[in-house]
Amino acid sequence: MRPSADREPDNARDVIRWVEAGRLTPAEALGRLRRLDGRPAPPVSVRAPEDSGHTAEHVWREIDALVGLKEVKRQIREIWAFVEIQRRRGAVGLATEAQTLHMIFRGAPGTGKTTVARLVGRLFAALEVLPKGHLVEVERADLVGEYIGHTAQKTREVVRRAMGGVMFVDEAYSLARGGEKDFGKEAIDTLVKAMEDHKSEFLLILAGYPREMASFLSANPGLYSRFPIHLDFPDYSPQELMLITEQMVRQREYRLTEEARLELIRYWERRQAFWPENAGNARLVRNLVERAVRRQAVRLLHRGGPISRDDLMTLVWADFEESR
Amino acid sequence: MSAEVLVVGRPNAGKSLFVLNFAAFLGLRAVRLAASADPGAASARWVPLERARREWVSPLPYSTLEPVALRVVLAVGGRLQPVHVVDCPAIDDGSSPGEAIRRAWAVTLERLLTARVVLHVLDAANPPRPVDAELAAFVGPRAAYAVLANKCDLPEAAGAVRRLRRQFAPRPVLAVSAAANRGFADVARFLADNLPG
Repeated sequence: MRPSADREPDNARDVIRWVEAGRLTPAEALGRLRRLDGRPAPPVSVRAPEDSGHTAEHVWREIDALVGLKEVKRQIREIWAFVEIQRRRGAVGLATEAQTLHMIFRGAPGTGKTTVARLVGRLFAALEVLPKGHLVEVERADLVGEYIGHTAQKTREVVRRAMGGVMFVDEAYSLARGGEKDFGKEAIDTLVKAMEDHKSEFLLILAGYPREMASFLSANPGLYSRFPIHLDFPDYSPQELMLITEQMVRQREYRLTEEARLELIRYWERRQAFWPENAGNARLVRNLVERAVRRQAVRLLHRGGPISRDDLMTLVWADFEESR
Repeated sequence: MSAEVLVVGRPNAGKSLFVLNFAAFLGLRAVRLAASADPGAASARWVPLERARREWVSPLPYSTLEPVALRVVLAVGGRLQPVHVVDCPAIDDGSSPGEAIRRAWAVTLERLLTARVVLHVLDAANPPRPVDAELAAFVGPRAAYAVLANKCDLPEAAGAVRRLRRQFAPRPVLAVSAAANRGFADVARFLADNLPG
């Protein structure tokens, strides 16, 4: 596309004429125009699509920053390594393994399943295993309809939205609640068909409580083989909940007093003793921190007088204390 | 001569819908569609906004092959001022499109040479391409320039605005949704701060 005989355009008008003549793409033309202005190339702000390693690193940093989840991280690293090596094999012309990467996530609510699903989507987008890697979160009500055929339609619509990314079905076992009038089976069949018809165009993750997911899979043996990857999300320990609390407080640009820190550790430990079933739920951390932030606001304004930057940043135990 | 705001971007970023709905937000009830870029031309006729939306806005790329200017009124420096918001033909990374599209590209590039205020519309649900970076790099230092991260109402766009702010720093990135009419006040404020007068 680049002519050999003519001079390169040395003024803006000629650059644009070359675009019209099909000798320069708009991106090339804009680059030329910028150089004619005497400006150097900007420090790279938009990566070209081939350069994916750079973003994969960013996603990995976020994955590593997640509290706990050691086994999940290890398994994802294994999948990533497999995918990356297959990619390089393909790049040098070797045969590659067909990859089914659909997943089952087992764990109680608030143990990081949705967060990891989102990061896996972004990681796979960075590795070009998925075109977009966005996350579409649904539950039974989003898939199941009220009459025959409605379910297939609703489910296909969700799959369409998730195309190119990750479809995350929470409480997936509720699709098999059963009975003859239950359209959950229709949803499952539609999903399976979509997995066949759109191989490697979207990633399906089914998630839920461990025991229920196990029953669900044993009742649907055909499903088991389609989900080769199973990740377990254990309940967070009190220490991990404390780390998450600190992370969340830091992210919002607040800080804890020493007293608050010590009391919070005891708070998480007590909670586990009183309410073990829900104890590992990290959503509690968000509720707790958000409430503390509101209580701090009330405390500061109620106290009156000048409010320093340090005051604005500091959460004391009293801000947390009433949230039992 | 009224001040001009160019609206540029890749195909299907949502420029035409943004321009129409933004104009409606600023009080426009009908638009004057002219065959050329001059809304004052004798050939211009008044068309209700709803019809303009149907005729202009299309899921097919390159439905705008010529710049179309809408005249709106904006409060700048305490005074109401007429402003021409110009919906420009899309530009793209591309190989061998037809002559009509290449001419459309040339027209937009030409307008960019003299533009003082430029809004760069991006579909936030899709990653930016090299031509977007080149646009930012060329226009950024020359004109008042902002990125409009459009379609931010879509789930696929979540997190995109943060990423776009990093990628396009130090240029401002405004989150908008042309379809849901979101973010328009921020755009109006940006224009009020940056339009001459």
